[in-house]
Amino acid sequence: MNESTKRAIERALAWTGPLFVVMVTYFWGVQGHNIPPPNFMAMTPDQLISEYYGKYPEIGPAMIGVATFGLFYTTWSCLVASIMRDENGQATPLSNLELSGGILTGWLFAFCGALWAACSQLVGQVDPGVIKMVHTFTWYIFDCTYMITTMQMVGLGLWTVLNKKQTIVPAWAGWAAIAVGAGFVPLVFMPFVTEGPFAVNGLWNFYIIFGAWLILFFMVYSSYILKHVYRSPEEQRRALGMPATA
Amino acid sequence: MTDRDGQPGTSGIWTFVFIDMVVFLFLFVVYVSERLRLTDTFVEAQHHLSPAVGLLSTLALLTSSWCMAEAVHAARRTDMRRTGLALSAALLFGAVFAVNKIIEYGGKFEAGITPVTNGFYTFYFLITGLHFLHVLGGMVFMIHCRRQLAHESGDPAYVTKLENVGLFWHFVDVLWLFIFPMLYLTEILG
Repeated sequence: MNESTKRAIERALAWTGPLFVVMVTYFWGVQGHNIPPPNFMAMTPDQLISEYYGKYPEIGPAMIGVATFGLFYTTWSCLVASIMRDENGQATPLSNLELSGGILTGWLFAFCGALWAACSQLVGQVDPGVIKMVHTFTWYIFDCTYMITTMQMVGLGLWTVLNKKQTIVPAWAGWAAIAVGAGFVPLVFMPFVTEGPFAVNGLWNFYIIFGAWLILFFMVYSSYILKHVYRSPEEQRRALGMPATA
Repeated sequence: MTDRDGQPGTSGIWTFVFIDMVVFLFLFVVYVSERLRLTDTFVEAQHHLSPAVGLLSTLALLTSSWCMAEAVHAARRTDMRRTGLALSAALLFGAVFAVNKIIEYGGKFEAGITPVTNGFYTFYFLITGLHFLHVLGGMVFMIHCRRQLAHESGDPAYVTKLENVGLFWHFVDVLWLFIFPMLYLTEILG
């Protein structure tokens, strides 16, 4: 593969990051009526139908959109993993952590999106209790597997902080990624509470966590990665702390 | 050696402490907002926390923090014997805090109190649990510094490392100084 093709691919993959944010915010958040999501833990199956799935039939197509564009998170993570090399140009265990976390997070969006779409499309065909069961099961997977994304953020954060020769991302962003990743821990309370900050639509477990993840982690890293892929090959090597080519 | 004139430690540890502080600040703000919303639940639950146990934890951490400061001062003077003694003492008092916390958690679980008992206990276990993880992390770093003392004594990099651990340990201490009154004493203070 020649250099210009390689750079075009890198730039295209870098743009899948911002595209992921825009599309998932629209499909999952706006069209999927998830800002905030319904507090299903405090709702009866009939309420979940009358106040959410039955009320908003557009949720089905919206969640298929999530299943499609959610995987842009994976494509972006693959690019980041390819950039995360040491000063000798080698991949590190931390880049593997980032990659596996990124792949699985993208899969979560696709898998959960498809299940929520099924809930929406099956309203009226199956018992409301079944809809609530699948909806609850999907949210448990979405929230309680937070360690997948935490693993990615800690891997990326540690690489940023410990690889002192790289100048692609500043150290503060690495610390922020680790802190935001650790901030996901209260998601473990989500299945057990029906109100308050740790409920599925609560101040901490929805607004603070998702807000911090989006703004302090994803937007920050996405902007530095975009900046990096528009550098010349020589500048890219320097930014990685690699010796200049002869 | 420092990478900031006149300031101990490296810029990395200051950045980490600042970001960690912001995370806890968010937690404290959410806690206070919930306490205002569910005052009766929180006040009733706080009756089951022992201020004496909290005070013992406070004294243990404060003493440990003082010993850590002594260790850093001694390392700067290249007095390695005193550095070792002070580090060991800091570890010992850190262990007192840890054991006290484990006993306290054990008592709560025996009484059937868990993180999902009510809103207060969700915060109690979350905030003290996160703090406890910081304590354990700090102790691991202190053990590392104690073990490396014989090999790295006199190396300026060792002093910087110890300053970093010291800064982190003081941060853990300061965090507890907020957590103790917030969780254990606000019911008494009214």
